[in-house]
Amino acid sequence: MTEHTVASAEDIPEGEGKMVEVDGLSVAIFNVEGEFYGVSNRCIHKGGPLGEGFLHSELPVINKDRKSIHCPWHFWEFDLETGRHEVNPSTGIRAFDVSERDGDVIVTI
Amino acid sequence: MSQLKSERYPVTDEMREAFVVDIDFHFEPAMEKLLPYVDHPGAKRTLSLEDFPPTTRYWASGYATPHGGNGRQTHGVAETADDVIDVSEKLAIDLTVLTPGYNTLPDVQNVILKNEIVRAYNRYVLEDVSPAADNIKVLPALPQWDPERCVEEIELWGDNDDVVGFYGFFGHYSLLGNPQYDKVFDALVKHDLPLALHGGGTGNWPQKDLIGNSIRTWTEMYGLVHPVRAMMMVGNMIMTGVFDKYPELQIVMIEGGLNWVPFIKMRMDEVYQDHPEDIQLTERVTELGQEYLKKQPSEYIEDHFSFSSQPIDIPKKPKNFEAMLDMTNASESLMFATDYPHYTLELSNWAFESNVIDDELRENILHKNAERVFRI
Ligand code: FES
Repeated sequence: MTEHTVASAEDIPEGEGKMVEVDGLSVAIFNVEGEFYGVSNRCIHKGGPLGEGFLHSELPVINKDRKSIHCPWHFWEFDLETGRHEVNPSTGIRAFDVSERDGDVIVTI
Repeated sequence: MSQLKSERYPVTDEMREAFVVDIDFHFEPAMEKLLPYVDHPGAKRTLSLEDFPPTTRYWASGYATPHGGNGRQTHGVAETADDVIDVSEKLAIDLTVLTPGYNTLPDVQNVILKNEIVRAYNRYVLEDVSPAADNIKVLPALPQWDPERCVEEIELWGDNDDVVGFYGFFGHYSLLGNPQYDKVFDALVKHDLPLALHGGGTGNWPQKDLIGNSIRTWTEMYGLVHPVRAMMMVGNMIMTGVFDKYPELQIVMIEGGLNWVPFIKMRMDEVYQDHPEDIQLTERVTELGQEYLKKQPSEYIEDHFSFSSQPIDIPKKPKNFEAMLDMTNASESLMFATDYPHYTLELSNWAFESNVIDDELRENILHKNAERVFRI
């Protein structure tokens, strides 16, 4: 397991996200009420970018109550901790181990 | 105006390198863009004051998302040639076939208003938009509620180099096997142009129908209503002898789905072989003096119909996907489409990500089938 410092925590305000490259993977990092989460930035459905907002919003579409993220293309919803599709848990995307330490956001792979 | 951020559309090098024709790029200018082309004074006044005419609103995709909306402008709106060029570039489309965006137009009650919208739209798109670039082609709108007016539009624009066919609906109208549409087929065949049919109306089944009144979800409404109507349109045109009378006519079914095609090929052949005698009671077959259809129903599907790829529902198992492509005759009948700007948008990535699609099949899907049928 290797730790990768991918951002400074203050670069990702609450409710926002940031795309980072980790080990050649495109990872979308989100700040949900002070907790950081990371999932593959590529939607399993048809390749939509999970870290992007809908057309008129820069912000990713996070469901704070469920701790989930909506893909901006066809709205598939993925649990941010497990990566599982909220409606069909047999499918999903990769979820990463993300933590914050001393103001850094760290992805462990 | 287009407002696409390229980051939202992850396009790979291979998608960019491939030549891609999109056969369903909805061009939906606001009424103010059409006003200079509207002749009828009352229609001009009304459209400038009230914008798009009212339709009965049956359903919206937003009922099924936490975000609401109707899903029709999820990826913006194209209203000018610059918009089309910009969006096509961002979505890695090399040749864009514009389809009218007014899919609720059939539900407008006022015939003068909807006729004027069709007339003005066709003039705007063919006089102001397609001339801006060689790679913009057009399926002008047909006023399907009025076959005589359809013929007028076909005669007016049928020889225009940017016109690759005409655009109607498999929505809730008379099915096109009705002999009143023969004059439309005559005009299309005369101009050597195919007819593209898209889901029409507001993604609905009429509410007062017992089925419509029972529907509760978008999965039923969008997921099933379009395919059911598409199936009925294909079957009706075949069984009423349209293709015996018009052996050159080509039909492109857009957004009606694909996976049902093998089913109706087998189902129709089976039932027709069991019980063929009522074919003699259809007007066109009677007029042709035939005892039976010249071919089996499945053969007409193979010879006369093409299908848009969007919405493609790819089976999870590659061997099933391979079988589906084979049984739908995809190498000759499948045409790539994005459905821009609706929420159902698809890019061409799926055609590169499956090892059951080889280079030849991919080229057929991404451009060759469209080029052949639309005479591009
Ligand atoms: S690509 Fe993400 S929901 Fe379709």
